[in-house]
Amino acid sequence: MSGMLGLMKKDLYLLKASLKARSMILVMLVIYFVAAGSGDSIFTFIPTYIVFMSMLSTFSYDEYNQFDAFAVSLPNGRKNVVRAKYVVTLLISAITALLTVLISGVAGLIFGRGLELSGLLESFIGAMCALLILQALFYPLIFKFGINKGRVMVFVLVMAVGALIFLLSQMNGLPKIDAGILDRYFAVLMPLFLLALMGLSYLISQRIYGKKQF
Amino acid sequence: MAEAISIQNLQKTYDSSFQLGPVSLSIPGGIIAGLIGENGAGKTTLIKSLLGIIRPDSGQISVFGRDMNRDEAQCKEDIGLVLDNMFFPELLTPRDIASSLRSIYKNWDDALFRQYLKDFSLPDNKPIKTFSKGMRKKLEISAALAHHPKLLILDEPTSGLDPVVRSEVMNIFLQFICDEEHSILFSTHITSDLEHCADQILFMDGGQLVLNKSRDDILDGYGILKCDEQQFALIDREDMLSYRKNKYNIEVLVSDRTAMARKYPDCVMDAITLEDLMILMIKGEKPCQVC
Repeated sequence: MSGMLGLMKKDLYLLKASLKARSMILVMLVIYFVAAGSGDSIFTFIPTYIVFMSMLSTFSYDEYNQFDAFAVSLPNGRKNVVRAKYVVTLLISAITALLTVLISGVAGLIFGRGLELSGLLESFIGAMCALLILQALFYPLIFKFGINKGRVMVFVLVMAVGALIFLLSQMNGLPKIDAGILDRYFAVLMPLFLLALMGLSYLISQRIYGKKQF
Repeated sequence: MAEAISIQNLQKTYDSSFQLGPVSLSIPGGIIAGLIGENGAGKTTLIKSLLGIIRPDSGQISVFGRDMNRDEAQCKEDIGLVLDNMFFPELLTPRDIASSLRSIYKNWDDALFRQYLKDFSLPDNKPIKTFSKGMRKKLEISAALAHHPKLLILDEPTSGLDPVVRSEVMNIFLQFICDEEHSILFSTHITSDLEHCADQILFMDGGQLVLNKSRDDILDGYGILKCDEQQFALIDREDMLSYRKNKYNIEVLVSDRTAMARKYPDCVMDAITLEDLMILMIKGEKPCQVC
């Protein structure tokens, strides 16, 4: 546990070190989208995107400095590298989701539409889900192929899933899912789905990293 | 005293292009063991296998009597590492690194780490990317020593350093080894570093451990017999380990300098350096025993 904490700190310090640059990007994006007259939804998207890219950058820094080889030489290093990455991801994702709600709320107040709680809750859940799904898909690929190849692989994966959904939607005779059921049980189904997806992603990453050689 | 490192039949194959071992060796506690060999000889593969960075195909490794597979975490608590170009990301500061390693090593000593930073004149709040190569290496050494390891594993710790920094770094290693429970496995191309401090020399070539002897046995025992073509023809082939024909003479590597000097008094006998030994063993021709 303590070994994991050390590796978590390393990632958090890395995020802190790049915070200034990321904040500037965030401000510039906000200014751009406000000037372009984009809707409130952009305030949900931008912080999520920034944090996603920040987490990926921790992988890039690790790879550039061959930190993984050093990390697996530390006590319990091999297990803790993956654990730390997932825990930091969940931690940062939660903070991001909260920030997203805050930013959306502030934006709502600034633009005179008041604090719409239900809308904010949707933003919160939407941002959280998108971020976690993407990370759950991405991490095993990064642990397997490294950050550069992993990026390409995830692009291929997303395209393949998109194509599959499109093909399925074009097919007749498939049972239709009642959207009402999804709406009613979303609050229960989505956390369970995310939990299962992250758990599966974590186990696959541990397995990949356990065999990886540097 | 328990052996610092014991390796039995360690083997690792890479896509049939390179094979390490099988290697068996032991490094007693309280000594500096120098690991030498040309690029691609298997030094780094041996160190990576030892640390679990790569998975050996077979073999057993123990550190201070503990099995590396069974008690990996405990074994690694006793090991300090300076690896070649493998360290914390360069955006971090020494302070960040100390904070991270404090949560990793049970025996992490903040005061000792700060003392090393002070001794090496390293700032603790500047990112590593602003450090020179020498400063980075000193930081790696400070981090390696600050959890009171009993064994230091060093992979090219002095490469790329100027003579002044190299001397400082070597002094730190010599201070470390003053405690007779401490040991060092020191892999390097700079063989002159080992001539002054190593007790044992491990020489690797083509993935095999081809020589494992004490430094004194090598430097006091081995020699280079210098002769011309006629003298060379009279030398018994079993007296030669290898030889190299130069423009004006032939250099013959022998393992018993004193005896060979007596046996071949017309030839010039020179003492050997580890660099000479490496070159003659790698580049030298092996004598044909039936010629």
